[in-house]
Amino acid sequence: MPFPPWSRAESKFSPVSMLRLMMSRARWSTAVFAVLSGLLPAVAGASQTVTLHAAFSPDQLGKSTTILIHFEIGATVTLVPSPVTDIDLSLPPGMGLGTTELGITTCDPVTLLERGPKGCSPNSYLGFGSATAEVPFGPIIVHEPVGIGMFMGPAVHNHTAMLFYVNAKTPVSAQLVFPALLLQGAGSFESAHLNTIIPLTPTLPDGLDVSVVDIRTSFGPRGLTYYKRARGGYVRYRPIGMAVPAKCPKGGFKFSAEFHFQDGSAATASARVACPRSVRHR
Amino acid sequence: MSFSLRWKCALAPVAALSLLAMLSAAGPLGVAYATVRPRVATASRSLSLHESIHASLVSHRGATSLNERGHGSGTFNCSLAIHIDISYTQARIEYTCNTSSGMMSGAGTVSYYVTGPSANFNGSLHFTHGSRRYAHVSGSAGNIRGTLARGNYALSAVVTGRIKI
Repeated sequence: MPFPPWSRAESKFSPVSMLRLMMSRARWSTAVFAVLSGLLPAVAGASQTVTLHAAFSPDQLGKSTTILIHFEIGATVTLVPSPVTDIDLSLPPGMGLGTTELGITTCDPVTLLERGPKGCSPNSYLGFGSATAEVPFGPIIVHEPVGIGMFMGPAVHNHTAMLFYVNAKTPVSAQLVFPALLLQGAGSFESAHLNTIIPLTPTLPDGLDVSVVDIRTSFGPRGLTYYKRARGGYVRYRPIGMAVPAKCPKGGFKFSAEFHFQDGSAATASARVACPRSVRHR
Repeated sequence: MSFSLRWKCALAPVAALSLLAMLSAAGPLGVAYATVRPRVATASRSLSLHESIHASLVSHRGATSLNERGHGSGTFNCSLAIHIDISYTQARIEYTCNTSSGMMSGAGTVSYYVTGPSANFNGSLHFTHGSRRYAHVSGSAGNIRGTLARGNYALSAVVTGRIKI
């Protein structure tokens, strides 16, 4: 899937914070430097592990829900995993976009990039999230918290598109907008996967790119407030999310994910949301 | 008696026997033709289809199954009943189109995607049943392209194609 032309990544350094950080760490890290400098070159050839956790909130059959996804990415031989370039998340059959009210308005990606989430209607929010990035500055690995906003975007090549707005502040200041496309799965009519191509975020010139080690997202109405016109004004309401299927398959609702990394490696993970008690299987 | 006349006289009994044999053989067939309505082969004709559809939600089952009713205008000007099952990226559409000249029904799986306030779909529709004037519609296929308003699930679509009736 070609990367849409309207999506661009923009990252810039916060030199002062980076300098402070490096200077403060430099005082204690002489011994660590010697160790890490021997390990860091192996990053390019590292292989990664991924764990996936999924949950519904609330977890009631046939009811609107928020889908909670948590990825943990680890490196097997190095301290920092290779940067993720592509995530393909397979969604459980039986759900869909039928009566959900999520993303009743679209958000323009250029506006989102220029003005941030304030540039988009509250009715375009699909969810929130957070991530932890590991930023290699020489021998030092800095953990950077990252905020994530998810928005309904304009369709791309006749595919439902979700926009990720990623906001990192320090030490690497970066605001990224990139799409995730809902694509038909290889299996049944009901199967689908969410494909996200993640742009690389540079650190120092000629340095390694930022690695994400933890991603948490909530897709659904939890925490969202939409507005609609009523009685001459606006009324707040909580949108209807995707519904948990009315029947639970044996073993629960299956999610799986395939990750691709900058070093060319790939990793897969899967998770099941257990059926609620006293449920009907299909 | 000339040669030709002699031959005619000689052939007369043969001709009479042949005629008798033909009549006796045709007898049962003649009865059959008299009592059974002859089967008349009617050539199906091709019809260019362009129908604009507007329908509104009547009911829904769960979050992914919608029942709609509406009206089509164009080639058939029919009243419509539409059932839609919506997945993530595809939708199954089943419809019945009732006209004063007969009904036709069909189904299709279409691609489905959401863009803000509307969902869009596009794909093929296959005609599976027909009655009276549209008895031969089975096997024809058309294309449907339309939108579903996400606020009230009002459906607007255009069906085009060429069908046999």
